[in-house]
Amino acid sequence: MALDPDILTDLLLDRELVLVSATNGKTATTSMLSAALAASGRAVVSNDDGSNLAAGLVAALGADLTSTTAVLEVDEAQLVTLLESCRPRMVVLGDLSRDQLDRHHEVRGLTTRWHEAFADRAFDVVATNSDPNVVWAVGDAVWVDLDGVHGSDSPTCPSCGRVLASASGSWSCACGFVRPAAGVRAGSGWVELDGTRHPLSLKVGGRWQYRNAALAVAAARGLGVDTTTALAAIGDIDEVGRRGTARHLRDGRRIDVVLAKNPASWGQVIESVESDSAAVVVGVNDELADGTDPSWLWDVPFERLAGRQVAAAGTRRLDVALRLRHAGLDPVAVEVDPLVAAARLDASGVVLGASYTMFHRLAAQRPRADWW
Amino acid sequence: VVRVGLVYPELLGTYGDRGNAVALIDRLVGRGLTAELVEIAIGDPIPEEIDVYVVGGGEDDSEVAALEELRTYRGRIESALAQGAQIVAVCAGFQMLGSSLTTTRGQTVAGLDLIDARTRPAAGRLAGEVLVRTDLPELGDVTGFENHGMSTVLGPDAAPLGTVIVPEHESRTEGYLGPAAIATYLHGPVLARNPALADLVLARVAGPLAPLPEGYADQLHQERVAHALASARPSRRWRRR
Repeated sequence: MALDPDILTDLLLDRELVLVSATNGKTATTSMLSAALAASGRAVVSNDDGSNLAAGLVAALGADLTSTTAVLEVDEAQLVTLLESCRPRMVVLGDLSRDQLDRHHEVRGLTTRWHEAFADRAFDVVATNSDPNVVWAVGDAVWVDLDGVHGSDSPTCPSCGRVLASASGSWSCACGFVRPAAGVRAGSGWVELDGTRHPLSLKVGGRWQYRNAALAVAAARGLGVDTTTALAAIGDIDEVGRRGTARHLRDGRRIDVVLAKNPASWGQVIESVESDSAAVVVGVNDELADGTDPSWLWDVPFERLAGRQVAAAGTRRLDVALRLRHAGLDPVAVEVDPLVAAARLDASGVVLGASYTMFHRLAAQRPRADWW
Repeated sequence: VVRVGLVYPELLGTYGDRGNAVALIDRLVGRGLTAELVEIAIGDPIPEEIDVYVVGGGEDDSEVAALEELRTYRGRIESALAQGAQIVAVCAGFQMLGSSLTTTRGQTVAGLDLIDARTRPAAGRLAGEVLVRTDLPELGDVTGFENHGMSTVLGPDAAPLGTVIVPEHESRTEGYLGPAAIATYLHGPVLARNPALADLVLARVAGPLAPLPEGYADQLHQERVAHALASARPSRRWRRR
């Protein structure tokens, strides 16, 4: 779909614009920030269904011509294009990690394009201080500590190319490039702004959601929203986008479907099941939107699923099965259809981590009779 | 015990390259042999007592930083190879083993000169599934995914791994196959997706290998070869019309 770039510019005219980008967490952060801004009395339009390329932005904005504030989740590469034609009031950035290398090429290349796009800017930035690439790209921002797993995707200094020195979760370089101090951080059950800790109880699952909440609260504060109002609105959210959805199998067992498409998001899925005994289906398709090279599977610590039932699904089920076998796991089922694979697992709870196209097909389908 | 050395995984692991070392180890252990994974961190000396060095891919800065460090240990690696060790190098690893490397910024640096090959930026980026036909019957076709913007040209005495048959219309060779080194642009990881290639490396350091029962690696290899050939067919039909 070729779009007239002016359409997007026209649709944004006279709207307060906030852009949110990152490799992971942008849908959740966008939902949270939208909720906080709406609670402060703004009329907000957002693409919180995760359609973050130009066509999705136009569709969301075109469907609501009256809202005066737009909070848009944008694809990492799309952000650069958008900044050429739009004038956001604020840009909110989370960590960058390897994702769809066949499309974005490498993380450092994307970082360089961000660096150029953020020079001489006229908007505010709220950004992670955990990722050296993001810190270098934006230079100055309201920093939020996302406690990121930056290590593997920014081993060298984006400024000078030397190997970064890492110690106790922080990093620095001999050239003087160091991790800036963050005024905002979060943990399970709290968000801290400039030394004041506020309790926060999220309805949406996953410890990582508190990091997204920290970004959203910091952004909301920068946009003039009272912190108590923002926290209450964020705590009330019970679904972020449609990035987590539940289904039931025919025998009544619950299957939680989550979007998992790269090592960082799989790390979060694995972290989230470690406290229970759920069986796990690893679902990977290789259409363009999924990325056509699933070699990232080898950077996911599937070894941590030892002792639980697993299955492989999707068009790249054999890549998955081989990876699981090398992680010391023996897949119970290897099937194209993730629900067929899930039905073969003998566990009370099943979590399906699905790549982009698999997830969206499952989320879009109405539950079929034979799933119940 | 066979020792597999994974070189600078924090710098050279962009495309799941750790999987190459894991595949080698598991194919030894599956045959009742003992194997050890030795992770060599940047800043640590490269040990000489390694049977297979595995060098992966990385982004430009990581490659330059790794190459600078590896230069210090070039003599040690060369002497290990002379005594029967093997080196498997993928993508940036392949480029570093050559005699010279011109970066995308136009800077030319000397390589480790363990392979007669020179690398320069290519006209465009090469990204996609690749099928390579080799001359070795025990190896057959090698499958993988390439994603890079460089062109590596072998010198007259260096033999390629094979000829690219998918994508079509590109008459080019892929990789390098020498007595002590195998180098390629193919990810996958290439040794996981091509069990015969993994076994070729292992037989060189561990002697004749007992067969393994067919597993997911064999199924994946067959499926990827069939997929590549099928994807090439429509365009052939199209041209005939």
